[in-house]
Amino acid sequence: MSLKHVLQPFNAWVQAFSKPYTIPMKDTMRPGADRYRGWHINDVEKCVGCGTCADICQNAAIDMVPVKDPVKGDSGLRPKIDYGRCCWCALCVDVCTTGSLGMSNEYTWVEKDPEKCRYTPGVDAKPWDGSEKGWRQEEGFSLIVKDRVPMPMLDPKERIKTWAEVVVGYSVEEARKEAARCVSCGLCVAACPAHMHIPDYIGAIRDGDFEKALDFIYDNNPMPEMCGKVCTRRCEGVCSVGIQGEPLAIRWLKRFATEQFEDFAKVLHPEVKRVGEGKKVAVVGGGPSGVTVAYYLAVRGFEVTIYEALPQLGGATFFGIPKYRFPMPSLEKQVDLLKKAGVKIVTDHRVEKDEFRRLLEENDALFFGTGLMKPYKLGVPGEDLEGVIYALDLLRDHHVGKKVEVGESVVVVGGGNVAIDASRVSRRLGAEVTIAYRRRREDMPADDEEIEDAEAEGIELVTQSIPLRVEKLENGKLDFIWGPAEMVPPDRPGGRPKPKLIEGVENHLQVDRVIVAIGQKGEFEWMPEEVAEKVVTSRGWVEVDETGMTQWPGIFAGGDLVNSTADAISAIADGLKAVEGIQQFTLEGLSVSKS
Amino acid sequence: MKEILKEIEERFGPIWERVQRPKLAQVGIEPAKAVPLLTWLKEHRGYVTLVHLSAVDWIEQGEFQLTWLLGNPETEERLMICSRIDRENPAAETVSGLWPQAVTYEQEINEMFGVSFPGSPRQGVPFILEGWKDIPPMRRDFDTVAFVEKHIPGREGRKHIDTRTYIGEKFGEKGYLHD
Repeated sequence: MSLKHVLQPFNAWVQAFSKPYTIPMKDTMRPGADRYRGWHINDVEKCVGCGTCADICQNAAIDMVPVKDPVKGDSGLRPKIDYGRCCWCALCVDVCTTGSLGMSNEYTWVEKDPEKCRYTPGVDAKPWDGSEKGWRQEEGFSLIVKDRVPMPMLDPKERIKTWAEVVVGYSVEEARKEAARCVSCGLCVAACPAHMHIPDYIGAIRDGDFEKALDFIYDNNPMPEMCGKVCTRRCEGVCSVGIQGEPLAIRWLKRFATEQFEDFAKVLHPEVKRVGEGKKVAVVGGGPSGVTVAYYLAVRGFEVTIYEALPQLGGATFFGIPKYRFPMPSLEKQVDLLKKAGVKIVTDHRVEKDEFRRLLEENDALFFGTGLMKPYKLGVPGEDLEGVIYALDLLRDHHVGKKVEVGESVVVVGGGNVAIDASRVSRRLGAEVTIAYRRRREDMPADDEEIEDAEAEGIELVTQSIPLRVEKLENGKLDFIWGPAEMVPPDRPGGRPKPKLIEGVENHLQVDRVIVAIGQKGEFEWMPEEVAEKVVTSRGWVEVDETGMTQWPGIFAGGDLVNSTADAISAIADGLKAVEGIQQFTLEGLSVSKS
Repeated sequence: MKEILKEIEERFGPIWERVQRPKLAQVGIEPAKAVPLLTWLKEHRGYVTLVHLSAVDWIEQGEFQLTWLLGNPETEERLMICSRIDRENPAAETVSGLWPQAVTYEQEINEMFGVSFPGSPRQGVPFILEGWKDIPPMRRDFDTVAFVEKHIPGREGRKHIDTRTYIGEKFGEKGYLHD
């Protein structure tokens, strides 16, 4: 070994003080391309946690993790990405239902702890949050099918001449195509008051297994053909596909599944323990809540009798909803299943005080869902004149087969579904129809689609109109006098803007009928005083506990009397609650108290 | 592009066609006529460049689609020649005699889709997948997620929550027809 060999390593140290040959990294950092697929970003406020990104990921790199409590329309889950698996293909971004998920154009990140390379974009702060550049969903391209399969409808000019059903219904091909748009996130399940198994029946329809679909549907809804035609469909309001496109036609798909079968009893085979053998339950009121209680208790072996004042079950869905939306054969099919399940049905029979007391004696539990049958009054002079009628009476008389005349022209006062139904029925009875509503069109509680259908049928809408009085004219007609309203801010924050009468202006409308449809309330004259005292609140509602039971042990209640939403699916949800409540109550060996 | 499409139709019989952009058109032709068409385009119509050769798995129709993308450097026009072959025992004529670089494309498609090009060198020789035992991975019936779960471990402690099930549990979804 020479001296050279000993000194040479030290020579290298001389280089430490000379100009480096390499280029410092900070000067050469190049930004990723504008559409680079770098680290993920997520607008967590826009994201609804549908989980479609996790479903599509071909590397199983995405976990949905809870970041907040679930609410209707947001699962509270957010995607967390394992970068040990992600291959930056961006399928998750392209399929995102809300468009909240994106990728930044950042591509370098050094971390000693691999566990840190797993984060929830938008929740765990990263330097590239808010990045404007990087991969996003391309305009006009989507992995989600945004357009709904259109529903065939009767032509408006034709339909006002008949009572035929306006909605024609999907064909098998159309239904399966529409069902295939579903991403099965289940946000709809949270929004549905009855928590129907929506993604499951839609999946079964997509696969062409309609019996399975019906089984899922009937699992917690005994009037699905009704809901398939007229449901208020909160489910569609939160559908994740509906955020960037049109929501799944959940209602029409349910309708399709139920319409595939003439006799539900041949398809449905409940497999439940007949725990109710020997127990008797009386149901007063045959609306959706009562039907629900009766059906699911009957399949559990309870002896159930429904008492209904009108000639047919269905409650408001029978007497209120016009047949061009919900035809009789559809209702009869569902009632038929009830009979086959062993429910005794007594129609045309109004339960009065003494009989109610007797029912308490004879039954182990009692359920009532008698609905809101008493219309609110307008409260203007001339309301008692002949020709001023209530929409509820009109609809009921018409649907029980009484002859109803509305003359040549009517004005319907109100903006809810009852107002629209009364208008469209009057139109079909041959009248020119005007709807007078005190707020704006966007404030109308009626279903948007219903309003559009009414307008298509030639019904005129006069908004911001406040009824002042009704007078009888010499020609026998009525003079409906109204004043215009301006909208003023609500009394409390978050409330609706209020209509305020503009004084000094009077408009006249000559009509044959003034039809009042401004809401309805409960009626308890049939109920024994000692019961009413306990179960009816001072505001005319009925309060129940979490099992659906009133203050009177063994008396359960549900439907419009109990919930403030006043729609059929909420009534069904009340019924389901009471099914469990009654089952629990009677199986504990308890029986309804007699006094 | 209209003229060349018309001429192809006259010479090679029924085709389907679509002009996608002023200088890009797509032509669909039966497999037996694909290579004669490619040869003619190269030898007589100036489409001397093979830009790309790719495949698509049309599993529902039981077919693979092969697409040869040709370029004419003088006119800067491009033609996509598409042909559908049977998905069972898929095979197509090689164009490696016309364009040597096709050997690599054909090797790749052979590996990724299982389409064979008899006569093309390097068929069956691994392209990027050494020791691959599964079905070709670009076939749509290849279960990518299952493969990943089996061969690429995720981080420990990962826990995925299925949204659909989670919502059902959180909101009290119940059924009443089955115990």
